Amino acid sequence: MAHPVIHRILDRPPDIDILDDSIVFCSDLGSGSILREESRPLMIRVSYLILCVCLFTSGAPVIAGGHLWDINELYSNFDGTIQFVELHVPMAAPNELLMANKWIRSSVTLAEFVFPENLTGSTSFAHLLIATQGFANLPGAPTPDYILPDNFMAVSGDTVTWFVYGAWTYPTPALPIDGVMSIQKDLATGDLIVAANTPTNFSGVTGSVDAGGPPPVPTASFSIDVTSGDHPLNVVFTDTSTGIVDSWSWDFGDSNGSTSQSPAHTYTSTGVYTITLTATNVGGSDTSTCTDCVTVTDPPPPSSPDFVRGDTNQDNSVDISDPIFLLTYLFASGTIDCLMALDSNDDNGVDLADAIFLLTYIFGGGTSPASPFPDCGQDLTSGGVLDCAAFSGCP
Amino acid sequence: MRGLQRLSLIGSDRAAWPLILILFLVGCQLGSERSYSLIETDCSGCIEALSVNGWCDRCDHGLVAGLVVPSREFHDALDAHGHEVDTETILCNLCRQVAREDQFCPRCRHGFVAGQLYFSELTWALARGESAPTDIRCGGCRKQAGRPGRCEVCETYWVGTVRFMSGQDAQRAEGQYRRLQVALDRLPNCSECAVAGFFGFSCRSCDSDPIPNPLQ
Repeated sequence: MAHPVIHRILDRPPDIDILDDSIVFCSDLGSGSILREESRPLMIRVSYLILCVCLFTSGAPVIAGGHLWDINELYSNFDGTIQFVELHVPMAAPNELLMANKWIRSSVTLAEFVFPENLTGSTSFAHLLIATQGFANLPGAPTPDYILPDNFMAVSGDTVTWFVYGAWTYPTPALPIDGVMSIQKDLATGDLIVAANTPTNFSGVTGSVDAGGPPPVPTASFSIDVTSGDHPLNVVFTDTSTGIVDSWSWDFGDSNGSTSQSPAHTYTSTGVYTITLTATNVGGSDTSTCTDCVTVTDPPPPSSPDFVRGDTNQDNSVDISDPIFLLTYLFASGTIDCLMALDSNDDNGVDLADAIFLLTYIFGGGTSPASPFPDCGQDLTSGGVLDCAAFSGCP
Repeated sequence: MRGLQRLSLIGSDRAAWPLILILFLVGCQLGSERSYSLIETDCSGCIEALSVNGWCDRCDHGLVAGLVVPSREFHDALDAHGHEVDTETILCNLCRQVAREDQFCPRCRHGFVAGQLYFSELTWALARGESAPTDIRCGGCRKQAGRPGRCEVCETYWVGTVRFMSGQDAQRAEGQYRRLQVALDRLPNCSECAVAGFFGFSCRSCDSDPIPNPLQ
């Protein structure tokens, strides 16, 4: 479907002839306007001639726009405080002056620089230097034409777009952060290259800066206040890394972690855990690992009072009254303070077998009850599932 | 005043008289050509703008190959006319080469026709045709003008208001012309989206994709 203006052109019947078959193409444009052949008055012709001569001789400037500026160089130091974007007109084009409201943007930081005004002066092979204040303060830096905010572009991985005329995406090639190198355009081939920075401003002043490289990679290390214990085991990890560290990443080995410098962590399960610390700065990262560093064990069973196994009635002796007491407990629903004492056969249960065990021991020469027997003491055998809140038979 | 001063300087220099004579003859030649003036119009600027893909101040819109570009920003970005540049000074090797051959440099995205530089593939492609002829004597063209297609009578091709002798040139221009139409369709919702999309960028404001080149 043709656009409105074309429709207007087409609305005119195609067979209409104006002025002896000299149909004027734009005749209906806008509002039914019609072009007609006529002769220009002599005065108008003379005026055109004078105007023509004046334009030729005065060298009246023809403002072409701001289209021929192209991104020429991108530079950043390691922390983004010293950056510049340089534009360039790569040909003899003196009138690329219309820059007002054209912008440069970062896709990652979303920062935007908008040219506040048009330029004055020749733009043939000219440069425009837009840089951070940190750059402007460096020795050897040409005066920026405009100031950028710090961290205008991301240090690693970004696309810097110059209006609708160009965009540079790195890390291909990566943006150097050594304080010396920058991404530049090989003007002959159009390829992006990495070379020592050459910032140049609109006045043609060029220079070179060294903002210093990133700090050395830190060396990660840490200490632990305890390395073993029953759970819940609280462990304090102390960062002892050397060098400048911007961030810490801890792996406690139990699927938990932390980004604190010196965190504490509580282990709640039995196990042997490997601890890892990664210390990072803009120069890189280092990892320290302590393999099988923390051992967490089950806690002992809760302590119970001393008792004598088989002394069910807690009279400080094992005799016939004990199986009777036990049978009474079993079949008459009595209450008892220390079930451990009733577990004569040490099978972690209280039932008729305990009574039979006791009777056999007393009357049939059976084996004696397991410790603690015959003296008062703790249940040191396996198990420990029975309660023993109190035992009055021991001192 | 500056112009008059220069004129007087030239007037005092004998070497300048041949130049003035040439200019005078050129002026006479211009004056003798058939010319056109407007009647019954309330938007004369559009006709002038149409012939140069310019901006019509009176109607406050731009024109490119007959398409109305209502955004000044977009029209300025298209800058759809040739620019005088000394192409031998261009630092890009490929640009210098294609400039000699009236071709398009994909690296710098500049096109060249008759020594003039164009800022997009669209404006370069259109420049390879005849923009807005002021008279159309061919009846076939009169029927075809404004519609993409071929005039069977005189075997020319039309893309918008531009006439092409070469089918290949016309096909290339039509592809770009259709991209411009897509961009103009985006314009009412998001100006940046139209401009960025046409020039091959995503739009940050509405997250739209670049308009494919060529259109699928």
